[in-house]
Amino acid sequence: MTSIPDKSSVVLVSGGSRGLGLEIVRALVDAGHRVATFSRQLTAELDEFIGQHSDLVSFRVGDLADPDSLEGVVRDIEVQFGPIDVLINNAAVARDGILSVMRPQDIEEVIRINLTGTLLLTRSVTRKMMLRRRGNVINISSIVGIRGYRGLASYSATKAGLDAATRALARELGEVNIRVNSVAPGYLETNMSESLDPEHRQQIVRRTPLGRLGTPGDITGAILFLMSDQAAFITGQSLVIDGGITC
Amino acid sequence: MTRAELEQRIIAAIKSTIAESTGKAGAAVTIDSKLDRGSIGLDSLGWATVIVRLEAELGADPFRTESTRGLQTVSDIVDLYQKTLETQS
Ligand SMILES: NC(=O)c1ccc[n+]([C@@H]2O[C@H](COP(=O)([O-])OP(=O)(O)OC[C@H]3O[C@@H](n4cnc5c(N)ncnc54)[C@H](OP(=O)(O)O)[C@@H]3O)[C@@H](O)[C@H]2O)c1
Repeated sequence: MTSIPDKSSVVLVSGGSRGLGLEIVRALVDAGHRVATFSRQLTAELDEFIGQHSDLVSFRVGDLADPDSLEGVVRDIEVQFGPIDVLINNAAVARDGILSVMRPQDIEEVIRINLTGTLLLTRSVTRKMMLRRRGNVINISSIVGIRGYRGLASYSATKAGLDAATRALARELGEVNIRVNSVAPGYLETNMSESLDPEHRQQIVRRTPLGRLGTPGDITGAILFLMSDQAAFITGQSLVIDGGITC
Repeated sequence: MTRAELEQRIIAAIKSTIAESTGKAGAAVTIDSKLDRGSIGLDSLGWATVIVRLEAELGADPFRTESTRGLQTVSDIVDLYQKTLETQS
């Protein structure tokens, strides 16, 4: 692929243990990058992948809801691989339900993990990028941050929040040559969408001009592009990848 | 409140919510009715309305702390309200 950078970058991916995050880790390693990831639990799939590429990929236990664990994750990665060139904020949780009867603790958890945790991680990583005067941050947001979907008020708020942070940070950090963009997938075939009932799934497919759900591969290509020098003049943008469902 | 009274109050709240959302009264709801949309005809907003209505009537909302996962029948809902009302009193 022409968009793959020549030199290998050190990339930190949050939530690379499964779903889209794991596919991002795989695609980055295939493209020759060194990748560190963390989540609350290691999975057998990621463990197997690390076994095959132990020099290029590493995992640590870390929890976005626990700021101290994030500081530790960032420190360890820098010791192992060197300074972080690219941060991919992928980890998130979704809790659905009509807001008026959602458990307050669920609302708070979604915001704590998806928004506060992600901002704290970004704070910690971009501090170092600022000193090196280069870096790249890619936030995984979602189409629910730009269109209304019932039952997802708090999750959507975190995704719209991430897109807003993307624009603000692009302005803050452009001067020190750090680009910040977001990728907003539509419905993907991952664990998060497994809970869709068949009727709802059919409805999504019918409403999507390209006639299917997205795959993680649809997203990883865009991430590699945004990381690459071909995207050197792109910052503060949200790239919607949804087969046209929101167009 | 006895278990039988609680059952009646909860079934009544479900029935009035169904009546409001479909415009038709007299839905058949029993203690063994299944909760999924196909069986009882309430979607997530309908259930939210039932919960809010019951909080106003009973002064209790078990779903402030409990998850709705695993609930299958009206009887499961009654169990939850009973437990919550007992711990409140
Ligand atoms: N799937 C879709 O249809 C879809 C659509 C649009 C956008 N997205 C976005 O794409 C991203 C990935 O979604 P996915 O479908 O791949 O989700 P997923 O399969 O549920 O995976 C989420 C990942 O995040 C990690 N994670 C969750 N909470 C964490 C925490 N507190 N600390 C650290 N890591 C945590 C999980 O690992 P642990 O549980 O072990 O921590 C896991 O590795 C998310 O940002 C999501 O919002 C997904």
